Amino acid sequence: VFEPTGDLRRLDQGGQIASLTQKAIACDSVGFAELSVDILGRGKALRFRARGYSMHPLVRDGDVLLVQPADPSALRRGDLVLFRNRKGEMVVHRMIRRVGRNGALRFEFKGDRLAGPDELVPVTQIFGQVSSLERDGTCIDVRQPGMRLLGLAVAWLSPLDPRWIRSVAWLKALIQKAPLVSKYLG
Amino acid sequence: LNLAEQRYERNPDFVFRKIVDEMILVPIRADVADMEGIYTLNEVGAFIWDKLDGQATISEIEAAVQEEYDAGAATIAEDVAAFIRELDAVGAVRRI
Repeated sequence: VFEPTGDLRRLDQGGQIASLTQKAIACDSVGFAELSVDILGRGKALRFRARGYSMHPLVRDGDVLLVQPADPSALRRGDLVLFRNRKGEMVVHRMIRRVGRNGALRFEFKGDRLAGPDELVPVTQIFGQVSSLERDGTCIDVRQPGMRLLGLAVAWLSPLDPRWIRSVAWLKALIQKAPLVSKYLG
Repeated sequence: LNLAEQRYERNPDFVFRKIVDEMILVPIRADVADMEGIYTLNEVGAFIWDKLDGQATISEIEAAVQEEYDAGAATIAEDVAAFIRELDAVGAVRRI
């Protein structure tokens, strides 16, 4: 990578010539997709801060997500999945259904707050599955049975308009009474 | 042991990537890469990182920096040592 050039390279004056700086990398930054694919491909989990509102109220802007490497064949309807869309952006949305089989298998995802699904995603663009969410010191395991049931219900209702879903009193009550979820959703 | 003769090697649990113009180190701790706590290296930092293979001594790394960059020997010696101490403190390298 570093081939001698023969000419001395100029350095910025002031401060240490070699620096190490700690920072966060935003999930909507250029490097995030490349890094996350690399890390999940090594079989390691990824912890990052979510941006956006498409999964509101379960995932809010600024929540911290823990994502495990995903085996696409093991994904279930309602799971929260990290995938790369056609624009090259990394997205966490809910798995709604599988389409096709074997080599032609693709997945349909949708943001809980969005009116329509994303474009179909091939297996090769699926990288991780959300295992937990953190907000204000509260951590919720989204793979526990109650959360899986909630995810499945949301996936089933996904063809409906989200504004209509939010107006359904029994669903609202179910969400707010679920242990831990009520505290998390606030 | 003379500091100049010490050797360090990179911790394989730190992933190094060059993304656009940025040199990034991602620590993986307990099998989790925390994107809230990555590190960026400047050009000289990345140059030194590349040399930390467990074979080169600190004095050899200083000489390599001096061959490549326009800075005084004393500054290079001081800053290379300080930089390696920082890497050691965050667990990015280990002394052989």
